[in-house]
Amino acid sequence: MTKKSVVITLLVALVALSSLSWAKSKSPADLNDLEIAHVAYTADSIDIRYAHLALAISKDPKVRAFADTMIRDHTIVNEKALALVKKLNVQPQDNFLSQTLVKQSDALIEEMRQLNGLAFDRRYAGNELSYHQAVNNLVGKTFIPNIQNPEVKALFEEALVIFKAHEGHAQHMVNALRNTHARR
Amino acid sequence: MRGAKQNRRWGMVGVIIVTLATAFALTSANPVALGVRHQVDIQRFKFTPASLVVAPGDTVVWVNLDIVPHTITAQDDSWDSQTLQTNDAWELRITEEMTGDYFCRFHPAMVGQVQVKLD
Repeated sequence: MTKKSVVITLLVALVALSSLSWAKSKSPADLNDLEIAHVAYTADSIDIRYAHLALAISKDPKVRAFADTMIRDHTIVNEKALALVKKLNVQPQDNFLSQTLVKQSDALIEEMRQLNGLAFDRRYAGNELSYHQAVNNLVGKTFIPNIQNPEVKALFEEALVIFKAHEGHAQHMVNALRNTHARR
Repeated sequence: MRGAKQNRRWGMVGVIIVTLATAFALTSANPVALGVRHQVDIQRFKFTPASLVVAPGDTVVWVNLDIVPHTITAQDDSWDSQTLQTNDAWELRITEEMTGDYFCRFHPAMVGQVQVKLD
């Protein structure tokens, strides 16, 4: 190998190394306050979307009452979040987790739209339970301990109380629907 | 004739005075009992205190300290606060038959109790 070819090889290797973009760690624990705020707003908006679908399809009064409560409560939490970011003069930041949640919810909406009657009610209730369990786990164990701004942390702590109540309500709904028989 | 008319007039005045005096005396002897005011805070999806012992004539005031709305609804549907937004308060004057559980229509796991004590 000539000196010239060694130098060229080394130069090519250096260029290749410098152009590598090290993959950003994709863990919810790495999100900053503004990204966490964006995830929370997205998660709320998704649940509001599921609730609107329930009101369009379900005829069960208890499922409809639950959906009404989801719209009412999640809308208020989002309004509080927006008011807080306005007060702090910051902008929530889009991120991988928000995008993943949206993609998953699009697929689920498409699936649930094909259902009706008891099948829809059970699917909706089951998803509400698992969704709230997952979000509450994320908020309680990852987000709240990592949030830096005390006002943002306080809002999340208050929101978690609300979402845990929703989880309990969803569990009750799942249990009730398990014992319900489809009308012939 | 004039004397008789005047006597009748004074007689009526006397009757009115006696009637008013009697009413005043009776009222003083049996004053209307003023009930006690009790407050129940709604906070973090709980009623505090969850259970209240009250007497007929008492007033219970519920105050919503949560950021989401709640209702105070008798389990038997006999009374309902309608929607209470944040910092809204609702008063209920207690009567004998109001013993029982109440809940929030929006969040049915939230339950409280009013016990009316008759003494």
